[in-house]
Formats: sequence, C-alpha cells, structure tokens
Amino acid sequence: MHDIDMNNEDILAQHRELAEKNEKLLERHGIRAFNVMGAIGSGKTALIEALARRVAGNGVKAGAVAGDVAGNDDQQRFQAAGLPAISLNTGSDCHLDAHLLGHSLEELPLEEIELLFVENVGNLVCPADFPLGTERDLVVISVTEGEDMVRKHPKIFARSDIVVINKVDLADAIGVDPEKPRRDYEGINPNGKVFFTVAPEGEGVEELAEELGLRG
Amino acid sequence: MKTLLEQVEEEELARTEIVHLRLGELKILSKEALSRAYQMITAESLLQGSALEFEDVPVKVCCASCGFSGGVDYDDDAAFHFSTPILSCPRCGGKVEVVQGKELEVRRLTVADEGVGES
Repeated sequence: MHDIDMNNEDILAQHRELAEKNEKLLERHGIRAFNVMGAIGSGKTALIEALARRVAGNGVKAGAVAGDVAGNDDQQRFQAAGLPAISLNTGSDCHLDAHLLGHSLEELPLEEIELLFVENVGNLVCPADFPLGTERDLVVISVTEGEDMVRKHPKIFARSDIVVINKVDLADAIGVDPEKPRRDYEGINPNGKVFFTVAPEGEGVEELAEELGLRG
Repeated sequence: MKTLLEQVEEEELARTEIVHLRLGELKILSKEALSRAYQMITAESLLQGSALEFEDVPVKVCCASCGFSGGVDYDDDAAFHFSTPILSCPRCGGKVEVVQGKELEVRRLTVADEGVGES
C-alpha cells in the first residue's frame, strides 16, 4: 500500500464560498444581517419581532428570513409585523445553509431593508456548523427549556458570542434559575455576552439592540 | 472541487483502502454517522470497501490583545461529559480568532499497490 497526498482538500469549501457570496451581496446593499439560532420554541421569532419593532421607531426597516422545516407561520407573523419576509423551508434539513439563504436573498426586496434577521431552523446542533454570510450569530434559549441547555449543547455556545436567555418572567413559575445557564455559558465563553429578555414585552431588548449596534 | 470518486477514476488509482480526513475539534459532526453514510454511498463504486480514518485537529487561536497564538484551555466540568474548548485567550483572557479547529479536509488516500482491476 502507498499514500497519495490530497493537500488537505477542504470538503466544505463550497459552503464557505457561498457564505462569502451572500456576505458580499448584503454588503453591496448596505444590509447588516444576523443569524438567530436556538431551539424550537425558545422565542426566536418573538425576539426578532421585538428587535424589528424597536428599530422601526427610528425609521430603520428590517426584513426577515423564516427558516423552518415546513410551514409559513413565522413568515406570516413577520409580515403581520410589517417586515418583508421570506419563508425558507428546508423540507427535511435541520439547519439553513448559505446556498438556501442565497435563494431567499434573491426573493427579498434588498433595496428596501437595512437589517436582515435570519431565523435558523429550531435546533442547537447543526446550525452552528454552517456559515451563512451573516455578520453575527446569536443563540436564543428560554428558561422553559430547563437550566441545562448550555451543558447539553456546549459547542454552539462556545462558538456564539451572544446568548439571549428568554422568557425570564416565567423562571420562578417553573422553578428554573436563569443564572445557571449564564454561569455555564460564561465558563466556556468568557468573552460572550448574555442578555435576559421577555421578548413580547420588549424587556431586555434595548440592551441587546445596543450590543448589536442597532439604532432604536 | 473534484469528488474523491472522480479523482480515483481519473488517476486510475488502485483500490483505495483508507481515506484520511482531518476533522476540526469544533466541527459538529458524528464520525460514526459519516462513516456509515460513506459506506452506503460508496457501495458498488471504485471506493467500495474503503474506510474513513479521522485525524482530530485541536483548536488553535490567535489573540488580538496580547498576540498569543496556540491551543486553548478546556472546561473539564464533568457535567458536560466532554472537555469543551474555551474560546478565549488562555494567556490574557481576551477575545480570540479561531485559526484551527473547524476543518473537514481530505488529507491523503491509502491505496493498494496493484493497478485498477488487478485485485
């Protein structure tokens, strides 16, 4: 037997190239884009609605891509909130990738928006591995998922520099201490930032918007 | 990028025994699932019977604050069940850029010495 050198050929190079293409397209249109990841039911949609409401007060128009395996429920919510929105159904995949997002960007009225929120498929595993070409990633968890979400999915938290712990108004009722996931996160990502929010009420959203550099 | 199969076909390589991959520590990828999928998709192809072997590539970072370059500390809290890399500077605690640990690359192939069809 003998060995043939393959020069460390990058199997995922195409994903990165497509992500760079998205990034350049967004840059050309002066759009800042955020990849919003988190489990099913963590409040990603409500948080995006709250952030969009906040910047709308200052005349900043946001758009959204609603990533889901199926259905257009989130797209309808975004549109009802006045956001141009595209439903991006993966059919079976548990995450968005740059190729899929590229097609959504073809359909969005990019000339009308300054911000784009990309709501990833509800999942705390795969989305972290697929670059989309967005400026920053944030992970949303909620106290209703329990205290141990960070411990159960350390890699996505190690790689994301903003974590939103949502639904903190329910913490006492369900007996969850939101400080526990915060401590877990700070243990593996000491430079990351944590925000406690109640998205529908806009609680904590101002601080998050400030961190994201959004005018509100 | 050529697929492995195209490369093996074009270069008329002898039977491939092992495909050596480099897998970054931060990649969220199951070696077992990938190996199983590989066996299925390579069945009845020139790559049939070859196996994937993984070289684990540890995280390396660069610190913009103090100039540190190298490996990171790990959170060995037993509750995580894994040793989790801490993505901050192990020297000054500053923010870092990950320069290694996200790879999924084909490093080399181990092939049989005889020509195609001679096995």
